[in-house]
Amino acid sequence: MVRFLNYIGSRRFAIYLLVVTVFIILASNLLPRVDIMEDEERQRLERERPVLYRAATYLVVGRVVRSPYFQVIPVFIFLSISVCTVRRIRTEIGRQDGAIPSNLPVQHSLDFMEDVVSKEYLATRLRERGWSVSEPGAGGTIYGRKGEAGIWGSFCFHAGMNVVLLGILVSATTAVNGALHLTEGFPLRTPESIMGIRGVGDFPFKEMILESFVPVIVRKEFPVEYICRVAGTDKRGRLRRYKFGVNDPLEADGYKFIFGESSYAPRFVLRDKDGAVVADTVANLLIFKPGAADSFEIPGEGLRFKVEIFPDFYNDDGKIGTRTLLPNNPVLFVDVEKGGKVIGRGFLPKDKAVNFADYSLEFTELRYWVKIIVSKDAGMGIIILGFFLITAGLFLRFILNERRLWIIIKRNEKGETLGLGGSARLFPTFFEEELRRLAEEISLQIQTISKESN
Amino acid sequence: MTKAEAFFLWTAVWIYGLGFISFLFGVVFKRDRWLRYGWYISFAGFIIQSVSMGIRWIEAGHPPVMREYENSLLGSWFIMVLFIIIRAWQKRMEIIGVLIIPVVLLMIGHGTMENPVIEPFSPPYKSNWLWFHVFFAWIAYGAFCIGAGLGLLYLLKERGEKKGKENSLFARLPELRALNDLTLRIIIFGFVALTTEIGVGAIWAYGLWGRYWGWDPIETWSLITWLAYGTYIHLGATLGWKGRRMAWLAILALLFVFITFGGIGFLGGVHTTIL
Repeated sequence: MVRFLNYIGSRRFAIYLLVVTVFIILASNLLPRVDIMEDEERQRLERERPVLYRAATYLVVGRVVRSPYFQVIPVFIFLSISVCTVRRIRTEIGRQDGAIPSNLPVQHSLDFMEDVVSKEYLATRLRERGWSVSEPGAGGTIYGRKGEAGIWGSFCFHAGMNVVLLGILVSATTAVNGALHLTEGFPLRTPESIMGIRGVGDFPFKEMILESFVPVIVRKEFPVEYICRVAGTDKRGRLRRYKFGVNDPLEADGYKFIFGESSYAPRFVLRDKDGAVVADTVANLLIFKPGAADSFEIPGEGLRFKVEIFPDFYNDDGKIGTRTLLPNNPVLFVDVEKGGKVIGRGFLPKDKAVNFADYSLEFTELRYWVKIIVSKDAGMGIIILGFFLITAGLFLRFILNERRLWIIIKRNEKGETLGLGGSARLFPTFFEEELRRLAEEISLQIQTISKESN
Repeated sequence: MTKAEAFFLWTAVWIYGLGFISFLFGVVFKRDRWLRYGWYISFAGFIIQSVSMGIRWIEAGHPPVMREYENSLLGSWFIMVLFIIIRAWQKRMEIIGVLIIPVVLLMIGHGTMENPVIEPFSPPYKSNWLWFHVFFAWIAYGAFCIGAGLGLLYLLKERGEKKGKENSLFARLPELRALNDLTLRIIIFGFVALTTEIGVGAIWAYGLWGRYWGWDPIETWSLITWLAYGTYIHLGATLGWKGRRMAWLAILALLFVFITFGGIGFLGGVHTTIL
């Protein structure tokens, strides 16, 4: 067990873990990202390169990191960090300060003809330069330290890493995340209507309704703000109203309601040849993209509608399009299919009924629909804490480099010799330069004092 | 892109080009003076590029952080800022300009191939986290570029010393051990910035998308970059790796940075959608 812990806590093992993790994530990420491809692209890949498609499907990074084989790695990382950090803390606390390492070279030797300096004087000069100096005791040695908090920065960083890993575990086991599609004016029961959400505890609302959605568009095509106004009926039956937008989520009872996306929701009234209403439906169209069409079915009638929307329609001598994204003059281009055959096709302006086959279709209203991401994650707070520990620790580590310095005073019949030596945990060449400058400064100061006293 | 912005940007590109030629002349023909000229010319290019970016900022009403064109401009600008700081700290480091200026030119060139249309800030960008995320990202990538440059200098100097060739230019550089330490120091600095960028990005993502990590391609490549440089630091700081292999690692690890930076716009995922 001890050998196992020693190996787990070794630096070599930590590096192996890092390398393996990089390799696995890198290899997985080099495969085509079938999880975020457009449908057309994905289907083409499946058709033209089926082996690559299968490999990408099974080895996509999101799937790989959820596999139990991969999840062993963070467990080992957690153990490795814990064992190594605890061991290093114990070593650091138990380290005897002041004892000169037997193999420490004297890096600078300053010779003076007479006794001109006392230990107290040297200790004061070192303190002026930011060194933490032990009170000079008996014997001819002065010991100074600088940047010793740096090692604690390393401990803080690694502790933060483990806190983040714990936060990830809490997230993985307790977080809830789903999507709620609200169309203006249509209430939905919650949380039943939230797609993809599981394990919902105490949800703040029994019902939610999108009262209004306002996209703010500038220069005809650039959205700069989305304003959602929703109302929710809480458990006591009270109606609570909220306004939120992008980067400004609604928060209620630990849940976050985040604006995801939006598009148009035209209302259609379909009548048969006798004028009876066959369907009165609002269709939530896809995200608006010029040239993109969405499709939906009217069940019972076997009708399939393919719809392209032009929110601000224009027709300049046969050239058609939309001037802006705002619904100033909404027109739909509709294809109607039945049994695989197109039975109607054409433009459908608002408030005008159009006849085709045995039906008449009217586009009566244009609303918006909004996708609201519903999220609750107890792990987030832990991760934020871990992140701060990591950043603080790294910052300390970068700024502070533990250095130790010894000045050994030797007196003989010719005078006095000061031997300066030291060590740094990192960047030894920078420390050598610092020591060289320190030796020069001390030498100059002592020579000045010697001249003045003569 | 306005005419004024285009004028200053292309002027900066030409000046950077002249600066690079001066650096190259200095390195190839071993003329110290030409390195200094290259430094002054490149600094002038930086000032003019800053003017171009300032004009864009005023016209757009927001800092140049949207889309690939603005990202490329900002990234190249940050690399120059770090180069200036390094050079102010260690004058002998101006030789690194022969590596930095081509990277700056490539980034600007990459950006000019994209659509430079000025757009107002789209809603996802309207967050205070943007400032921290972008700032630390470019500080990190700039530091890693400088680190790779130092790694290359290490290899060139070491090669020269092994061949016994006297090269006054490389002789001006710090000794190999010091170059090694300097590379590690700069990469640790970049690592601190990268960690901050990833953490801030995760916090921002939670408020924007309802999750702090979604294995989006840019997020994944950022993590790969972080792990790669974390490995580098462990090898250097704890296992005591030094010398040529660390220099090579510093150069190779930069590849991940290029993929992460270059991936904005074509790797797909939410970052691309938002951008």
